Amino acid sequence: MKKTILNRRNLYILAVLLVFAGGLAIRFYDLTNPPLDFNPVRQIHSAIIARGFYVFLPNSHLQGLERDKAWSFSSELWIEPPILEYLSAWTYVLAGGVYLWIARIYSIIFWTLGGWALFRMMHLLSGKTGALAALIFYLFLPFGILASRSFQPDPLMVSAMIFGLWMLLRWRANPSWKNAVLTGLLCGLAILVKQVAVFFVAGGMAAVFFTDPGFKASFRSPKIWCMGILALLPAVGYNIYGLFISGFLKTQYSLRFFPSLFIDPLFYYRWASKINLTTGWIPVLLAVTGILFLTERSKKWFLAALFGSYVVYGLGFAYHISTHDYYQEPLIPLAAIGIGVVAEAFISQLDLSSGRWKLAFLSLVVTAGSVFTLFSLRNEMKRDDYRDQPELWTRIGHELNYGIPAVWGLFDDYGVRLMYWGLTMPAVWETSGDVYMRGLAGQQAAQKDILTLFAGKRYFIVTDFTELDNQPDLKKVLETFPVYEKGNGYIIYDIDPPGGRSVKP
Amino acid sequence: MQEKATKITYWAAFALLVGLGLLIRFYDLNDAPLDFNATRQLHSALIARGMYYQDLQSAPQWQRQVAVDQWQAEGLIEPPIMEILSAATYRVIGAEKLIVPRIYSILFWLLGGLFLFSLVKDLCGRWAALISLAYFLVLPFGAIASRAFQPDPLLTAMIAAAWWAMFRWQRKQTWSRLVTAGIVAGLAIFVKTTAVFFVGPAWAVLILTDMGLRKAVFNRQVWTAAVLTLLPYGLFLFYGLYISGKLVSQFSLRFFPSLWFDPVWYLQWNGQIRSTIGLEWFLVALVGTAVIQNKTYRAMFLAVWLGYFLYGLTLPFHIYTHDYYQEPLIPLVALGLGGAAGMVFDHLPSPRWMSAAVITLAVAFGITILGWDVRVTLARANFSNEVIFWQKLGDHLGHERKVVGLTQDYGYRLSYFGWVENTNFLTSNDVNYRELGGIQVDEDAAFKSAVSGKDIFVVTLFSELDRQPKVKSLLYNHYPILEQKSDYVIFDLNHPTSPLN
Repeated sequence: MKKTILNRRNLYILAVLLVFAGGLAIRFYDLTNPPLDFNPVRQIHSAIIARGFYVFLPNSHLQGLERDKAWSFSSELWIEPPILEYLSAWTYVLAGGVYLWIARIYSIIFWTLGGWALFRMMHLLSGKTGALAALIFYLFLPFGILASRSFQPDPLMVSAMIFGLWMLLRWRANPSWKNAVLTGLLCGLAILVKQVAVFFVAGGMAAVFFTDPGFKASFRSPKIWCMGILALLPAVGYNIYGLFISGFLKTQYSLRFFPSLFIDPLFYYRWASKINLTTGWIPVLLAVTGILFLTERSKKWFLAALFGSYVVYGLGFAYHISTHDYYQEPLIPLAAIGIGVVAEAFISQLDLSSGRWKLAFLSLVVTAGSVFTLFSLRNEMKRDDYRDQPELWTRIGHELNYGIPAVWGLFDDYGVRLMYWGLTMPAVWETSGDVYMRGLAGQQAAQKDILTLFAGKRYFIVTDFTELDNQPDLKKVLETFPVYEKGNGYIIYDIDPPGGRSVKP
Repeated sequence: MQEKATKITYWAAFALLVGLGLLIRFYDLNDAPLDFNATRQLHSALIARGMYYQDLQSAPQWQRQVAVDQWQAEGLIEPPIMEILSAATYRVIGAEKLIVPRIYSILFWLLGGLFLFSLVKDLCGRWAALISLAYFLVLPFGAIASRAFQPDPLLTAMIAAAWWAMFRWQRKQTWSRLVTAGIVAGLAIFVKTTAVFFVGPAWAVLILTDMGLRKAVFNRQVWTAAVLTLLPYGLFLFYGLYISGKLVSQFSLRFFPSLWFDPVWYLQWNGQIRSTIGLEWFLVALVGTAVIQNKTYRAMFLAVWLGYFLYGLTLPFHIYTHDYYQEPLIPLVALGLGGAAGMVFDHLPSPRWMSAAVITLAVAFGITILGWDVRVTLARANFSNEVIFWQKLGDHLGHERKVVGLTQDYGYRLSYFGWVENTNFLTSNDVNYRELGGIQVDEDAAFKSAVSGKDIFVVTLFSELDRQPKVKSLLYNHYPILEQKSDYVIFDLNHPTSPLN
């Protein structure tokens, strides 16, 4: 047989490289757009913390008011250890300024590295086709692309989780001390970055330990104890520090667990809708059937345990799973694994002996689907341009005299734009969603007269007009005050005008 | 014993799917047909109403006149089969109820699903047929589209029926099966010409792979099939072009080859597939068609995919702007999913009970969510206030005044619910559309021509008026306002404040 450069192996390597290149290219597109495209509240929260760190690093260029405000606002409550924030702050020093796209680059790199780990893991779990299919899903899923560009701990958490699970499977194949320690450290990193990773790490570990060495043998295995301890130690240390030493974590564990939702059918529908909007439930269902196509018992249990962990995780964070799209990020590698397994099984059943046209056709369909998906997303990214936002909110912050006297706001982003660029800390008016969440947790919001709440404040900013419609009493009161400024997506009322209200109630 | 239990489970699942398909479609049956391509639905509603009212002695004279005039003013696009059927049913029940065509569409769609089910059952296996049927009946876009007063649900059903009939003929080439296939294929094209892209390639490839070109040319059955397939529409075309003349204008502004060279157009087409069929389903179905085991049928349905791409290239504007142009794709995707499912089911690992349990759970979850999605969509869309608004506006304007306007759905809401004959002024989209077809629009001339001989200009589409500043200025600077409310403004065209230049 004549050897050509276009042999099967080279074509495979080329395909893998193209998938990585495509994944990186789409993520690096529109890099400098302010991070308001995806969960702006959470991203700016991290940006504020990072800028606060930067103030105290050597060669920080922040001066005067900006320096003072950057520091005072960075007292934003920590939820997870600010690893990405700290890393970004140090990179600001190297770059000579606060550039939000630096964190974006870190997230992209973490996510892409996670892709590499997933690809390697799929070779252990399934095969070459499965590895490629999983990688395509993981790197080309539109939601994953947007999520993996964000200034949040989630891309690093997902990546570390995949590395941890990959090492776990490597340990299963070769139960050496080196693999055990690496598994423990990487799983520990994932849980430290964001504690929700514990569900997936624990699920994966339980499946591997209890199906292969067995329940009793696992308890007697020092390597397994080592893995468990290393996985839990960093997060336990962080919690002890946060809860008992510095105390900043004390308020972070309230409003998280809502068992009352378990008996509400709408909760499950909302959860399913969230899955549909992020990973798409068709790929997820397909991925679940992947359990069937794994031949080894322990691998079957491994994938089943990961999906089981996702369900427990969803029930554990019932409110967040059905309202916060980024809570679906850990589902992406799970779905990718399942899809990879199904793809491997599908290809193995194709009768390729009657010519390779089926394989070529399949490749063509996947390529066309990928290209269309990436280009459609690229168009969306191009359309969502937030480059005018920093200047706008910087100006508004300046005009409102940085919140002296104080400012109220009904925001679609909890006022983070005004905080970050406008250096103004507003008082945030509760949304009906906030009230609902408190109600779910059994907390009652204080009912006060709107005008009483306005006392001592000068301006009221509205950026969430749907929410304003949900609060007709507030809307009615605000309409009696003169408009200070109105622009695209915002309106500012002067709620303490020198001449009194423009419309008498 | 076990076989009997499996059989019962199977037909119970079938009944459940059909029941669910009907349930989600019959939900909110009485709401006005404004949820899906209102313009197209009201076009049919006006025709059916005109047909019904022309002989309705109990109706006031003005109402009969308006109904018939509105019917006659509607262009002939496809043979008004649904409209004739609806008008006949209005006569039987003694009232014009828009739920009548809705029910017909639902039943036609269901019938199409049964043909598809039967076809996939023989082609890819009985369990695969359930997957196809589930997709066909529960896909949210299909569920909403199949309630519409349009020819498309019937068209989609006829396409599925034609494939089924062709398949049966190929398996046993009797004259009765051939005539059935020819008639059904012919009726599909008769219902809407676009069926030719889905029926033609299937016929051609089925015959060519089965008997080869030379044998086919001399085969009497082939010639009979060709004649039966093309004759009904041929006769309608002849009638429309040379007898009534109503079809003469229907073939302009359809073909825009310039779009083929615009990469964005392909993305927009992809966007349309994504939002209607679902790109994941589309891709899986494409692969699923390629793995159909029988070579002849695989070629037949791959040819239909090719037909779909040719259809998109031939109607490039409609394929990316009109979602209902994706409807004929639904049975094809359903069939392709059947192909993929058939292959998976043939190679399910043991234990079979576990595989069956996981797949049943996954499918049950999927159809429950999709079905609930449809329910939520229909529950959210409530048009009862719309109907009242247009009825009141119609009464307010009077039913005999000559009206031009910029109103929703090209003036169809005002026409239908308000009983006001009106002409709609060009929207900015109309202008773009014409320009795409190489026709330049002179706004001044278009405005003068539109207001000439009219009594009033009514605007309810304020955003559209803002998009046409020249027209806005002509109206506000030259005509007095008869009445202005938050949702409409009426200009008096009979007493201009200053003459138009």
